[in-house]
Amino acid sequence: MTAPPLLEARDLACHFKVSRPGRRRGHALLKAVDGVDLVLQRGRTLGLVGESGCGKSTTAKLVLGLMPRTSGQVWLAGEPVDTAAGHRWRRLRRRAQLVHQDPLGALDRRLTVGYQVMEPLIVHRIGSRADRRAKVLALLQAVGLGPDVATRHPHELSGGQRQRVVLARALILEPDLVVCDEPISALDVSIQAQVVNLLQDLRERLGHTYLFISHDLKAVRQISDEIAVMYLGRIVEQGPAEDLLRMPGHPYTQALVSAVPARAATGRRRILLEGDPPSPIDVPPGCAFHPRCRFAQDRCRGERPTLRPQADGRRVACHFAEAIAAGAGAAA
Amino acid sequence: MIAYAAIRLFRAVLTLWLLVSITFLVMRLTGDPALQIMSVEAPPDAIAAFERFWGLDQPLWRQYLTYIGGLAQGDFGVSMRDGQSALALVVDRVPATLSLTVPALVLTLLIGLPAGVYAALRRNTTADRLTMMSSVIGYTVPSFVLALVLVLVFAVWLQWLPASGADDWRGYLMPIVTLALPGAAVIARFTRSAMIEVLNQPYVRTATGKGVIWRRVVSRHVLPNAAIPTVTIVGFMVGSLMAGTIIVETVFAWPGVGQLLINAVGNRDLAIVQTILLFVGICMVTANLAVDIAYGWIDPRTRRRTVATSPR
Amino acid sequence: MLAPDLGAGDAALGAPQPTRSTAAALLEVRQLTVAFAAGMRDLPVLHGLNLSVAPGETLGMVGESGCGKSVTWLAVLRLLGTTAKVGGTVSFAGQTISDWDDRAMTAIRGRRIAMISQDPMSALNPVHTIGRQIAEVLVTHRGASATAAKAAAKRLLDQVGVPAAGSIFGRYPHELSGGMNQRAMIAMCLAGQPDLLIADEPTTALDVTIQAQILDLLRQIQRDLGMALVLVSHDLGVVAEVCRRVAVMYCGRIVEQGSTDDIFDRPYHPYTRGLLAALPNLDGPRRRLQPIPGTVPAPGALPPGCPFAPRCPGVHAACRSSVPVLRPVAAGHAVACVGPVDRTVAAMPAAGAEA
Repeated sequence: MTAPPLLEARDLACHFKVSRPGRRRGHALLKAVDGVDLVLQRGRTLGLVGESGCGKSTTAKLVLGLMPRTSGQVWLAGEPVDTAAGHRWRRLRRRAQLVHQDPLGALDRRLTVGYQVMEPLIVHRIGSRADRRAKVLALLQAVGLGPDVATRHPHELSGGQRQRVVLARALILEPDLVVCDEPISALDVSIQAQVVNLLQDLRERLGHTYLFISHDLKAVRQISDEIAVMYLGRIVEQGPAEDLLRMPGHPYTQALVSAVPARAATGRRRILLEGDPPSPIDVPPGCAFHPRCRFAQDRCRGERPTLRPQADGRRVACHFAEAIAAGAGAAA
Repeated sequence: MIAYAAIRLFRAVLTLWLLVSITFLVMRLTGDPALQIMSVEAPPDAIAAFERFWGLDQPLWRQYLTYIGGLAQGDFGVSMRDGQSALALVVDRVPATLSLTVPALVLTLLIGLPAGVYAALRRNTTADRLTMMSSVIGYTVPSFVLALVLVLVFAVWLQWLPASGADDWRGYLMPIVTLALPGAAVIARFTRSAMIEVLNQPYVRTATGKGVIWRRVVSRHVLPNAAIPTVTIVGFMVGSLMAGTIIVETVFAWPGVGQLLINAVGNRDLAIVQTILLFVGICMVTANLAVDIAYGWIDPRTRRRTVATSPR
Repeated sequence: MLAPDLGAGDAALGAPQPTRSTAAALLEVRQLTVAFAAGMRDLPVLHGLNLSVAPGETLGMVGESGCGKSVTWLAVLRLLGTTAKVGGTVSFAGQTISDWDDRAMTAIRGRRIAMISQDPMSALNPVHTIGRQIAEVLVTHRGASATAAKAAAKRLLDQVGVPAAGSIFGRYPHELSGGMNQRAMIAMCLAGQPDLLIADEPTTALDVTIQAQILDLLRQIQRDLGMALVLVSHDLGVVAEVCRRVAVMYCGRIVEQGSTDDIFDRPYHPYTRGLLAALPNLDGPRRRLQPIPGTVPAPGALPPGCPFAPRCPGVHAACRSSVPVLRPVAAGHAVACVGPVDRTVAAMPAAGAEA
């Protein structure tokens, strides 16, 4: 008997009605997420990358049932995830936690750090007072903070310390799944490394499963087993982290990887994309990437590609994935 | 655009209806016009006749419906005191009031805006602190106190200006100044904070960094942006000017709408009170509309255009 | 494609370029100090910075937030406002501009030194059109007529790769994307034909693929127009990509400067090494990151001696007594560290790995 994957999502979609002033028909449909499938095995880390507006943060909220979805289903360890607050939803909230980008915004400036880390235990009525205190101190230590931090307020801490506090709060319920939404973007370089290492250590010690959302490909590579690339609400490529970054299959992934700034000496060839990503209100027909794609053909304008498995086990949503891979191989 | 205008108009009518209805209730429930106008010693049958004549013996809801029905047909009613048309009585007084409020509004802006701009540009200096201190005094001293002080100084001691009346231009000076000063103080304070907010914006640094001289940075980049919040407060100012005229006209015995209102309220002369309040209400609604139009004119972000999509 | 002249059609704009002296430095900063008034006392953020920029060179300034890398350039242009106390001398093209009054500085700002700021959305005035903001520079510095300025502004927009420049000209910043606004901002900076372009975190607010476009554009205009470019960034990758020379800042001082190769292949200062070791890679074997222990001290609470001493793995007694000054360790490579010169170790040793 095989255990179900820790997280499974099928055909997730989230559409918003947005007002469009000045148009005769006042509303348009913003497709923030439009048909996303995810499978995440226990103990693994999936990196979700893409540029702003691609729907990666919305996907995180949908997966956690924090937002109503237009369609699709989510299972956590085989159990369906509801979007309405109820008994089952509350139980799920214990098992899946979200870590935000902005640690100061995620913390209440009037409450002490210790209380905020303890609060989930109080909400879920877990343990006695002494148990809770001991647990908070143990967890603060686990994220590299001393017991003196517990009595302090968020504004007395540095950015890196605050992010550790947010992490401790997310971990105190011993969740199976931790969804990190841009957890290091607001931090300085030297502090980013501290937090990335911390996440890795905690995963090893506590066996967490991470959904790691970031626009920073380098950080995602550092921490992920697998990477999924999103563009305009859909996953365009998914595969093992190293393979995907070394030999990106989708033309968008290729451009994204090549765009990461690096020394000229490393000699990667840059693929410059023309223009800006289209708005998720005006998603181009066919393949959403075709207006900026250097390989685009007539078929791409009419027919939307599905996420197809490739020979190397990777999945790519491009009609010409094989031809492009062969071409890249020939060129190399 | 038409739908937008229709919504605005509907809201304006709704506001006016609420205003009229609340006034009606308050006026009817707080005093008896018959006793006020006929005097308390009047014989009971005379009072009864008065009440029958004005329909005051009817149930409240019927009086209300009759009144609203009349309004809807443009009938503002007649004064219970002398049977004159309420509209004519009010319209008769409007020029006297406008001859105070319009110059007062202009004076408010002429004092308030430059003072606020000046204080913001010299912020945290003695000049700024003095300006802001005057501003605090300006809006904390009640109008009637200010009016009495002015009368005491300029009419009683110095005898430069008449204490009341609208006989020549000198009679206008003190009422207008009394009306304008508190507003100017508020505007100055508000303009200052709006200016300081804008002065800290990155685009002001960009403009300075372009090599534009400071005067031009202020006039071209700071002022238009600071005008956006300031316009709102100018809209509110119209309302407080209206309130101010009631006091000022009483103190200076000015034959305007404010004085008429005071008398009419005392007499529970509903038709007059309602007509004046409608007049004030229309002024306020118009002022708000003017503010909205001004917004669209100053701030391109509020102009109704298609959502930006990237050009390609 | 990118001609330094704005086009033959505009006689009004054909003002001759002032000749650049190639021998001397274009910009020379000596003992620059900045302190912000904070209540009763002053909060020093720059502690005697020395720096020079040669004509046509590309210099990167890196450091973490609050290290003073942006403040340096705002101080040079004197854009810091009245709460900042600025000391030291700044000379530009042989003239000591730190003595000039504000009025005289307007001839430098936007004309000789132009500055691109971090967030194009907030750095552009929301109530003026893009075109008007670009034209303003042409009218201010080149005495262009309104029509000539308009035509030149459209050409500039075209030069920085704005599609349909004619229609973008009349748009407002909120109607355009971040990348498009940053291009407009660059066009605005090019309008004065400056000798020195300062790009302060020009891509931090932008997405990766748009960042690549903008960096590409900056590199291209620097190459074609030959102006000096200073790129201020927290991202070592961005700086490495564009710049030939790099200065690393920490707590209001330059701690190391040298060629890009020096800094990346032969870093000397423990802070530079620490930064490099803390950075994840996109290629090469995956290794555990080595964070710099501790945190950056607050500007008002610097430790005595070398400000990096509390976080430094190789600290010794001398570090805590005096602030090290920049000293040359090789041609064009200077370091502010009293430690022994060891140019063989590429990255910081693993000692004291985590905070």
